[in-house]
Amino acid sequence: MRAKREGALRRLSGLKGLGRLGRLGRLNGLLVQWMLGFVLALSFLGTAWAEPLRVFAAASLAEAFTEIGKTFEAAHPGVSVEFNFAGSQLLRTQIEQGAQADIFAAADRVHVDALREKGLLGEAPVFARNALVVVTPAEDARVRDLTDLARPGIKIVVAGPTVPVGRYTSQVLQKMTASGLYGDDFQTRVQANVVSQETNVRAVLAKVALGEADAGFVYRTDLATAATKIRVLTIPERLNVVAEYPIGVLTRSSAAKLAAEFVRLVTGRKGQAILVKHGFNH
Amino acid sequence: MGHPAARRGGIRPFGILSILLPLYVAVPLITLLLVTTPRSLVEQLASDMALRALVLTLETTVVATVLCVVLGTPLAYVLSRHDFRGRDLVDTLIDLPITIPPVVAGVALLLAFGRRGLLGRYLDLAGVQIPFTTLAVVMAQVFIASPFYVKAARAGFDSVDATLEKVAGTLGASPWRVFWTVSVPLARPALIAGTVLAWARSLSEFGATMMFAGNLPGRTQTLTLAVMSAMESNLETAVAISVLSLVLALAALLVAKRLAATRSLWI
Amino acid sequence: MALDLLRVKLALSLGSFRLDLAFEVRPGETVALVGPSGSGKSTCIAAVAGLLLPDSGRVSLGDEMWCDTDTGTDLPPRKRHVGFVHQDYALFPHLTVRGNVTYGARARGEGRAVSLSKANEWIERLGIVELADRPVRELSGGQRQRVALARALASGARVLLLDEPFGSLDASTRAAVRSELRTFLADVRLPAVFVTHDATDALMLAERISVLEDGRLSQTGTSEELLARPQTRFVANLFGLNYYRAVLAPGRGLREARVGSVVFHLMTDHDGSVALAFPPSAVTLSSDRPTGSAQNSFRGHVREILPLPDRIRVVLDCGVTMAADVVREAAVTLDLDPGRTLWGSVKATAIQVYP
Repeated sequence: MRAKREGALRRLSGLKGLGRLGRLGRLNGLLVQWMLGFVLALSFLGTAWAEPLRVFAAASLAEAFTEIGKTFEAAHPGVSVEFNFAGSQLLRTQIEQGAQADIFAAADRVHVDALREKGLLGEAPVFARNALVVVTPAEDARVRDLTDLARPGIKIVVAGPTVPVGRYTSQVLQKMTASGLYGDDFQTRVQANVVSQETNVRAVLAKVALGEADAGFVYRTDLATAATKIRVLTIPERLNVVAEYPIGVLTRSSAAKLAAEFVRLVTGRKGQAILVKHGFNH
Repeated sequence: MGHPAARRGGIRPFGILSILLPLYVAVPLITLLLVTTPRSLVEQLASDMALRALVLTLETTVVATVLCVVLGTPLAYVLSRHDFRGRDLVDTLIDLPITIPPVVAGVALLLAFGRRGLLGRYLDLAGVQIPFTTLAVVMAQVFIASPFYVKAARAGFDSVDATLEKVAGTLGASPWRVFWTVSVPLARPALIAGTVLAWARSLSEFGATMMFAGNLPGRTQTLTLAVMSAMESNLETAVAISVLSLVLALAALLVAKRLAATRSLWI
Repeated sequence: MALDLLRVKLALSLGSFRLDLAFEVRPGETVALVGPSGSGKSTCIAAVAGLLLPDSGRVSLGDEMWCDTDTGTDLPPRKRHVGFVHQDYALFPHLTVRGNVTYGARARGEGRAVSLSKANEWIERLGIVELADRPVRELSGGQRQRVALARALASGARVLLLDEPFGSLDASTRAAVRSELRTFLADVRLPAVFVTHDATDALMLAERISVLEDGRLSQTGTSEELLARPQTRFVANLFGLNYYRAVLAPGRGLREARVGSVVFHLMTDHDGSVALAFPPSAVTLSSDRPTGSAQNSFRGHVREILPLPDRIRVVLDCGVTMAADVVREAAVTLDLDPGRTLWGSVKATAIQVYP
């Protein structure tokens, strides 16, 4: 019985050479074998049990998706939903490098399309829309209206060029310059005032909330988290962008059926109501 | 200086366990080198982003290291030679930056020296703003890297027999002269090792820099921040910059070992 | 020559006891401070060097006041021109021999050429020329001592302070180095103080010896004085002398004195409370009761046998403890063994009696 179990573990660990460790000391070799076998057995067992549903979602979706996740868990007892919130560009790189995920929800089409081209993502319908606003610190704000953004000496924080909100920011600035209302060199002057390119939208918000930056470009949906510390400057609708959020199931997912149900929840009535509650689809 | 195990029996009694760690460290680093080609490396490194990051990093880390040495050496000497009330407290304080997460350090620096910060607000009134400047990069690096130098320097001075200093005094040397002609030469290997450690740590500094200085190419985007940003757009560039950082670190370590080894055989 | 007289008076608390002493050293004189470890002798010369401040006292060289607790004067070591030779010699490991010897002059601001010539002068005088460019770690104990001395003197020392100068040498080197040092000190003509726990070192090197006992100098004198008339049991023990105290009734010439359970026959004019002292070499041992002129013969058993370099010291328990020295061959003749019964005899005239 004992020998049989030992043999099984040895096979499990797949390291036949471990037997040779016995030469160094029976206790040492045996101990290592047992340890490795034990650890591997545990992880094996772990995967067979309640495997969580892994959702990689853009940082701006944090609050809305957490609530959706709870709703999903309530409807599917025994299932837990695990979120990874970060800049969409970072999540995409992680997925490309082989990170284990079931669902990807991004803040723009670019990253989703890139993954689709590589065959890593299936169909990805747009499930939410967002828009940009400019935020300033609540007290002692040096930026009172949008024209102030171009004033020399103003410190502006944006997200990096590959972060969705960073790209949207450039698009908004282009539109504002093209409108002729803010001056021909508006975009250049505003970009000269940029002091930092953050890796996700929440970091932009944080720097403005701390009072370190005079202004930052974030999503309309981000305001709730720092309401008391910031003031909002709306961007006129025709100069604003429509941020489109697609969601899809990753082809490598080992829980495709469950993932598809999650996507259905997000695109369905309940999910959409939650998203509207958090400021999307305005 | 040899370990007993090296003189007899090789890697017994631990066998395979003793080489697991070196293997674990070597594999990712070697992978980094294997993933790129020399041509791609040169191409990527010649890019604007990489060059600016390299220049900025060299400038800031050198300044930061010099500051660590200039400010840290007297401190290390005093901690080593004088037993004063609160010495343990100061010692622990200096070690703190090692134990707190760098991002937390960044937040703390921001809260202290930011525009609305405890001290920063007065600087702001005087028209001086530190966050988002190259100075902020240096400050973050000094904050994070200084304990490495101070610890090493202190250990170095501790290892110098105080009797030698006293005797030097009886021979007519002033305390300043004793320091330069006896304490420093004898502590030199540790001082050099500490300097290199501090430089290496400031090279790899990320969290505090990101938080306190921000991320802007040419002004605050160091090599590590550049890797982060490049990762999001161009993996090849990220790899190239990573390899460059690796090479810099390796060069530093080799130089340090050389310098330290030639003088460590006096005693 | 009051110019270079070293005067020391100091009082210092040393944990469980108090150090309280005073002495003077004339130029060219070597004085030894003898005492067991922990007696405060190293502390004493550290205070003379300026490495510590006594609770109270004065240290001066000639008319230069180095330390005066009354006026608050406390010159730092570098201003005192002392040549301090530490127990382990404390040579700078990162400098060569020449580098070490040049250190003092350079530290005092002399130019490179001048320092070098001073250093070379002393290197020659101490006979270490061929070692001059060697790193310090290659040197033997005796060589290190010479380097330490050269270094101290090349720095312009006006007083030599030596802490256990032979402490880190092995027995065979000790004797050779000791006689060299004796010649050297006589040559150099500076006031020199050295501390040691070894009485023989003191006897060989010093013109005057001071014994440090419980923080005080219990006796100061030349070696002859100390050997002939130790003032305390401690001093006697230090020099390996037999020492007893007795009370004599008034009288003159040949007398009797009771010490413990034995009676000594003495030849003296002193009376009252007296000390009796004689070296172990004055005691003869024999297996049988001796006949002959020795009036003091005591029977006892051997308590301890101590081999010394050139003889054997036998500690006899004959009513009092008495040490006797015999040549090696006698060990066989007497059949020396602990517990063996022997007779120890000493002539009355060999016993020093003094108040």
